[in-house]
Amino acid sequence: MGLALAAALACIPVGCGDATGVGGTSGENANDFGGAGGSGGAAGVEGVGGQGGTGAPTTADGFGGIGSNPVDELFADPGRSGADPASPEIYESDAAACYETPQSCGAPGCAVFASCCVRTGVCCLPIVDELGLPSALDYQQCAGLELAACSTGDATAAAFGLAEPVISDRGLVPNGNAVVEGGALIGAPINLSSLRVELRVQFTLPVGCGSTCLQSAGVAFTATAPDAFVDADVGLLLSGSRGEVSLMIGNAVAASFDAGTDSTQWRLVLSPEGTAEVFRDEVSQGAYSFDAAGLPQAQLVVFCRKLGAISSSAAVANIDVQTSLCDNPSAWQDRAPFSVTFQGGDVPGHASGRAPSVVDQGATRRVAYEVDGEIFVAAEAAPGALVLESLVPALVPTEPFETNGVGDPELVVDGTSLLMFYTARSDTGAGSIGLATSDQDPPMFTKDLQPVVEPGGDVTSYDAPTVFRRDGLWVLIARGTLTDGATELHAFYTNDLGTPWTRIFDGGLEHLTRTDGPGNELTGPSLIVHNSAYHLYYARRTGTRWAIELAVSDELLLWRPLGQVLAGSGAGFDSLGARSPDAISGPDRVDLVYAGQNGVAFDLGQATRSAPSETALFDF
Amino acid sequence: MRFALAWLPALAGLVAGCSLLNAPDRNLIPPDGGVDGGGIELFCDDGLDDDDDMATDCEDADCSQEPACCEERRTTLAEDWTAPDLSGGWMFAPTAEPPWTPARPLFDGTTFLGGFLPDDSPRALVSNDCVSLGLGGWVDASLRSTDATGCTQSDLCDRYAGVVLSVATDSSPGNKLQDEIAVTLHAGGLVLVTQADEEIARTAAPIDRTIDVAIELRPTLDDMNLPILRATVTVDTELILEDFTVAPISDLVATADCAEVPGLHVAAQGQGDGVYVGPVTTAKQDCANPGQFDEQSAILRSVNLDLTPGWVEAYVGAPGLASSRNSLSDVQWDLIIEGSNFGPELEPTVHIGYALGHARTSSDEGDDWRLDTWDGSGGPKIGDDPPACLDGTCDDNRSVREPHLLAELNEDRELRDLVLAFARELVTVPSERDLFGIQVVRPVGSPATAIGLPIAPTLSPDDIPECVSLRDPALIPVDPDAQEGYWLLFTCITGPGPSMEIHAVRISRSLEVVQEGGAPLRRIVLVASELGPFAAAGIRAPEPVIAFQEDGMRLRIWFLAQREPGEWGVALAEARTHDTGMLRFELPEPVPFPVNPILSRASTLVQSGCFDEVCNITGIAVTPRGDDPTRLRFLLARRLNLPGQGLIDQLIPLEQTWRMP
Repeated sequence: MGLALAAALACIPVGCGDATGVGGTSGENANDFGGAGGSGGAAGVEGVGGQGGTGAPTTADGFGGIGSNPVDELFADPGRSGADPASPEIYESDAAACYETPQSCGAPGCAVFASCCVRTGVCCLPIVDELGLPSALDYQQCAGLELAACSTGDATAAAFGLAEPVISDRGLVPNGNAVVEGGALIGAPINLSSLRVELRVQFTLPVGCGSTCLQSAGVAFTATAPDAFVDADVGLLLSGSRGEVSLMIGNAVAASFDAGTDSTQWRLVLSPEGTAEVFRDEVSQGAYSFDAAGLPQAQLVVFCRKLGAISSSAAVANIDVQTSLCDNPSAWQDRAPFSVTFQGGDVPGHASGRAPSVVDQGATRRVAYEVDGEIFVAAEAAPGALVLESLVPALVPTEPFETNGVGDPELVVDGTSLLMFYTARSDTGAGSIGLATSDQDPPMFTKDLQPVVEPGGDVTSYDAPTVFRRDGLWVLIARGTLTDGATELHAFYTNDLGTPWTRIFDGGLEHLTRTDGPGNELTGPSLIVHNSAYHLYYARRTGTRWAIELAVSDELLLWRPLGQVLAGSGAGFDSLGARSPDAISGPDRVDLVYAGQNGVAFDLGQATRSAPSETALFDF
Repeated sequence: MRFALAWLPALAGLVAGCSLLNAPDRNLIPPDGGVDGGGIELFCDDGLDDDDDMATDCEDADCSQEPACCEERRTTLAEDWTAPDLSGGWMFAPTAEPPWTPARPLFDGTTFLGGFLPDDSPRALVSNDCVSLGLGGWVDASLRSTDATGCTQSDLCDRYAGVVLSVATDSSPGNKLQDEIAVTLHAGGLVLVTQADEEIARTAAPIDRTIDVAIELRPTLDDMNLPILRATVTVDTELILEDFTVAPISDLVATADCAEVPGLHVAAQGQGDGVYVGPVTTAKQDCANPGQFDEQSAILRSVNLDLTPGWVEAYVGAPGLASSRNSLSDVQWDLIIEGSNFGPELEPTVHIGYALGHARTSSDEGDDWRLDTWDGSGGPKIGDDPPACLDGTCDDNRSVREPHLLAELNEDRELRDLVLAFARELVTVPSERDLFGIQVVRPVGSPATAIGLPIAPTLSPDDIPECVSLRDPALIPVDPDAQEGYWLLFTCITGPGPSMEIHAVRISRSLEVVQEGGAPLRRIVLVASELGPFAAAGIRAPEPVIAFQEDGMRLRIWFLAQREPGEWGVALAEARTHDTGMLRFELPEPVPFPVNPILSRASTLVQSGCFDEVCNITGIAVTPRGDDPTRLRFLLARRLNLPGQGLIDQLIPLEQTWRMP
C-alpha cells in the first residue's frame, strides 16, 4: 500500500514539535538491529558461572525494578519526555494502572508511556490522499452532475445497481429499489485492521415517509462486491420509515439512533482494534465491536434503495473520510515463505532453517539461520528470495564451549561491522551466548574466544539471544533455563561490548515469560525499539501449536503484554502456527521473519505490517 | 443418551458457590438440585456423588452416556499389519524420501511392524483416514522391543517405535511427525508419552515382551469454556498419564473423514530396528453425537406446502413442527411457518410484516413425508395478506412470526391438543414497530382454520422490564400431560443489536401467566456471555424438547448462536433432574454441550448447493416423531442465493436417534 504519510507529524494531538531532532533516534536505529531467532532450548546442566547467573530476580507480580536499575539509561527513547522515573513508586503505580487492561492504556494520563501507543488507537499518523477516499465531499454542491464528476482528489466512484445514482440538491440518491440495492463504490479498498478511519456523514431525510415507506441511504465499508444487497460490514444506514440511523456491523443492525434532522452530523470512528464508535452531533452514542481483522480490503460504499420520487428521497448529503495509521500489532500482511538458493538452485533443507535473524545493512538485507548446528547467512536478493553467496557456513562449532553446535543467530549492525550473537552449546548440552564479528562484505565472522553471557547460579543454560543497540546502550535478552527446569527470559545491558553484561533485576520480564510445564514453552525473543517503545516479540508453544506474542515496555522493566499477534494463518507454510520471530523496525512499518508451522516442517517466512514509527516522540 | 452435565468440570464449583458459568443469580434450580437423594448425578467428572446414591461420577449409571463416561465404542480403524500392501490405507512418511520397506515379524502369533530403516530418519505409516476423536475415543496399540543393545530403561535411545496421533500426514526428512500425543517405546524399555516431542510422562517396560498401550480421549471444556480434548494413557494397565490436555478441539482435523466429528491421523512411527508396533485399533464413542444427523431426502419449499404464493413470495422460515399419530396410525405432521412477500434483508431499511401459515401431512410409520401431500392453509392462518407493504398502506398491519408448536399426545401418541406460541407485534402508534409480545393459543385446528388474534397478548414486554421486545417463543410442559401448564421460553430483546438472553415465564394450563411476588414467575435460562465463544455475538430461538421418564426428566434446548454477527449456527444445552415435581416452580439449569455449535453455518448441510455468501440458517424446529419418540425430527430452515433464482428458502428435514442409558 503506497501511503502518503503526513509530513513531520503535523497533527499529533498534543501539537507539533521538532520531529527531525528527536526522531533521529528511532530512524537511525531502524536498520541497526534485529531480533533473535528463536529456537528450542538445549537441556540445561550445571553452569560454569558468569554474569548471567548471579542472583535471581525478585520480581513480584511483574512490576518493579525502577529504583534498582539505571532507568535513565534503559529508556527505549531517552529523548522522549515520558513518565518521570525519579519517583519509582509513582512511576510503577502509574504503569500498573495503564497496563492493567488492554483498554486502560488509552486513557489520557497514560500518554506518558510510549508503550501505550500500541493497540490502543492512539498515536495514529494521519494519512493524506492516495487512498482515494473523499475528504469533504459535498454531494449537494454537485447537484446535477454525473457521479464521476463529483469527487475530490483521487477519490473515484463506480456505480452499481440497476439505475445510476442521482445527485440532486438533496445529495447522492443511491437509487436502488425494493429488489436490488443501488449505489457507488468510492475510492480504493483500505485495510481496516491497521487504519483508524473517521467517517463523517450527513444524511438528507426523505420527505413524507410513513412507517412503511422504503427510503434509505447508507455509507459503509464492505469486504464483498455489491450484489442484490450490499453487505454492510461496518457503516451507517438511514431508514426513513424508522426515522433512525443504524450502526450496521456484519450486515446486521448493531444499534439504532434517532435520525434527527437534515443538519444532524454523524461521525463513525473505526479503530483498527475493532471498535466502532458512533457520534451524533459530536456526542458519543456508544462504542461497538466489529471484525476489523477480517476487513483488510474494505471498500467504502454508498448504497441503498427507495420507492418514490428523487425529489423526496433519502440521500447522502455529504461525506468526509479521514484515515490515520495506527499500531495494530496483529495486522500482518504479505505473509510468505522464503526460498533459499545457491547459484540458482534450491539448497536442500535450508528453507526449513531454524531461528532466522534479519538485519538491514542499507544496501543489503541479510538473513541468518541455523541448519544442523551450523549457521548460514544469506542475502535477500528480492522479497522472499534468499541467496547464499557460499555453501560454507558462516559459523561452525570450533570452540570447546560450542562442541554441540551453534545456533540461534542474532545479527546486529554496529557501524561498519556486522555482529552475530549466537547460542553455543557445550558437550553437556548447556547453552551460552557467543559473539562473532565481521568487517567484510560478504561477511566473514571472527569469534570471540569466550562466551559473552554464560549460565551460572540457578541458571543452567542460556540460549536464543536477541540484541538491541543504540548509541551508548546494548541490550541483550536471552532465554534462561533454571535448575528446576523452568525457563524465563533474562535481560542484560552494557554500555560497551568490551565490558561485562549486567543483568537487569527486579523487572517484570521473568514473571511475564516464565514457563514450567511440558505442555507449553516460550522462546525466540526478538527485541526492537519502535515508536519510542521496546517491542519484545517471542514465541509461545501451547500443545503443539506455536504463536508469536508481543510485550511492550518503555524501559525494559515494566511490561505490557499484548498476547498473540501472529498465529497460524490456516493455509500455506504457516497454516498451523509461527515461531522464531525476528523483527526489524522501519519507517512506519515493522518487518518480521519467522518460521511458519504447517504440521510437517517449520519453514522460513516473512510478514510486514504498517505501524507509525515517530508518533510517540512526545507525550501524545 | 445423557451428556450435558458432565461437560463442565468448572461447574463443579457451583456446589461451593463459585460458578464460572451460568451464574447462580439467575435463580434457577442449581445443578446440584438432586444432592438430597432421589436426584441425579449431575456432574460426571467432578469427583462428587451428587445424588447420594453411593456411586460417584462414571460409577453412576446416570453418567453412562456422557462423553466423560461413555464406554460404548465404534471401531473406526483396525490394523493388524498383515495386508500384503499397506499403501492402501497408509502413507509412508516422510514422503520426500522413497517409501521405506517395513519389516513385519511375528511375535506370539501376532504381526508387528518395524524395520524403520534406513535409520537416518524417523519413519512412519500415517493413516490415510482421519480418525474421529473429537467427541471422545480410544486408541489401542501394542509395542515390543527385542533388542536393548546400547540402551537402558531410563534413557532415550536412537531406536524406538510408537503410536502417534497427529494433525499431519507427513513429516520432513530427519524429523518426527508433529505429535499431538505419542506413546513411544525406546529400545532399552523406556516408554515415553510426548507432545510436540516433549516428554509428558514415562514408565519402564520389559524387553522382548509385548506391552499394551491404551490412549483414552474425552472432550471437556476448559476454564474459558473452550472445548478441549483430554487424554489418559495406560501402559500394561499402569495409568501413567491422566487428564492431559491434548488440544483444543478446534485444532483437530475437521475435513474429509473428520468433517462431522473432528479427529486426528494415527501413525506407527519409529526409527531403526529392533522395536516394533503391533496391531492398532481406534474407536470413537458411540454414545453422544448431537452434531450428526440423518439427512432426509425431501427438502421443502413454500411451493410444497399448499400456501398461496403471494404472501410467501419472498420468504418463509422459522418453522414450528409437531408430530403425532392419527387414527389410522399414520404419522401426522403439523408445520407452521412464518412468511412474507418481502425479504427480511429489507428489515434494516423498513419494517417488514410477517404472517403464519399452517400445513399438515401424513406419512407411514418410520417414513419420511412426501413433497406433494401437504394440505396447507392457503393464505395466512394468522396475520394479514399481504403481510408487508412498502407503499404506506399497511400502517395498521400487525406482524406475527416465529411460531412454535407443542403437540400434546394421549397414551397412544395420538394428538390430544396442539398448542401454538408465536411472537406478535404490539403497535400502539403507527410509527412504533418491532415491539413484540408473545401469544399462546389453543386449539390450533386444521390448516384451513384461521386464528384471530386475541385482544391482549399472553405475555407483553410491559410484563418483563428488562426486555423491550419478546421473540421466539417455545413451550415446555411442566408435567407429561401439561396439566399444570408450561414454561414459556422466549428471546429477550433488550435493544438494537443481537439478543443475548433467553428467558422463561411460567404459564398455566389455561395459558395465563403465573405470578410470583406481583410479577411473572420468570427465570433466565441461557446467557450468551456464559456459554462460550460460539455464542459470543448472540443467541436466540430456543427449541426445547423435554422427555419425562420414570426416574426423572431431561430437557434439551437447541438454540441459534452466533460467534460473529451473521454467523448463526445451531447449539445445544441440556438439563436434567430426577425431581420432576419441581418443574412447576423451577427450571433446571441447562449446560452447553462441549462441542458447540452442533451445526455451523459452514457445515455441509448449510452450504451444500449454496453459490453465494448469502447462505444462512434462519431457524430450526425439533420434535420427537409421533411413531418413535426416541427419533427426533429437525427442520432446518436456510436461506440461500441460487443463480438465476435469487434468494430462496428451504426447509431441510433431519433426524437423530436419542437412546436412553
